[in-house]
Amino acid sequence: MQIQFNQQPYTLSSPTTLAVFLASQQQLRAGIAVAINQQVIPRSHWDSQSLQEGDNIMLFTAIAGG
Amino acid sequence: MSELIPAQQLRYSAQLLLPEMDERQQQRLFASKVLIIGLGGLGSVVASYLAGAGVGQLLLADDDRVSLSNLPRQLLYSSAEVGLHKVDCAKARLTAQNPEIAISTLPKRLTLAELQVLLPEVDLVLDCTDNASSRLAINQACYTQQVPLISGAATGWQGQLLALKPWLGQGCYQCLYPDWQDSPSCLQSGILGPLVGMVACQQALLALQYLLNIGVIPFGHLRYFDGLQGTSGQLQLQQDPDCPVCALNE
Ligand SMILES: [Zn+2]
Repeated sequence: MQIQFNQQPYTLSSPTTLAVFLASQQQLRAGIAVAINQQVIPRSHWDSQSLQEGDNIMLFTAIAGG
Repeated sequence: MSELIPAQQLRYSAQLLLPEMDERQQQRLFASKVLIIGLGGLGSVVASYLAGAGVGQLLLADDDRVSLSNLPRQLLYSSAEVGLHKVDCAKARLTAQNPEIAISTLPKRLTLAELQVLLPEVDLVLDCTDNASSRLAINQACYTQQVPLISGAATGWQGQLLALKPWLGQGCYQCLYPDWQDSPSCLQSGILGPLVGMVACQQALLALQYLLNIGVIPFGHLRYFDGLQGTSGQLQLQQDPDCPVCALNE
């Protein structure tokens, strides 16, 4: 299954959830937001959100500067 | 409402030429009250554009003093003002820019309780702060008091802009970053003046559009920019059903 992660193409060998995918990328950390296809996925949905062919996943880090 | 006097017609002539503007709209800006929290790289630019446009009442909050390292991007301050309270310097400069508007200052970091008291008086809150705890407190107060919030943030090459009416179930700052602890500040991560200015200009533009009730305000969306790559985009927020601010209270 082909997805995009932070603008890079990525191949998944088996169906997976967003939480498992982020963990495999060592990206499960505090102060981040994740969007799939330009829609923010609430944190409480990460465990149940399964990734689909063609999904465009983007990770955003909270910034506080002003 | 009284009509604009000739000096006002001249002062605001460029914006009055826009098809969405007329004297009634200008009076609308005169009658508006906006709270700007944080007078750093974002707040300096935001306050200057709002004062210039004739927003009638500005409430400026910041506990910080001007430092030498602020001057490359915090355009309201001069080298001679290092060590003085930002709110005082900002008020003097903005009053010189536009003596027609009323400016109140709060030389403090507002607590959640203080925000709750202040917000019912204002039409709009602009979050220009530099830390997560202030941002989340502002988000929470705007939810409770049902005051729209336009929040800007800039660090490194990244800019983020969030327009929220969090009581509408569209998600809030806490939904977006539920476990947010304090992130590195500008001094730790670096910042180039125009990057923060770019976010501030968008924040000021959205604020004026909101006050004038014109255009499309992206409430419930996060806009992001990467100043190094030149990329930008917009994400739709979703309410987190576990959000302690905007969901669990309902
Ligand atoms: Zn929320």
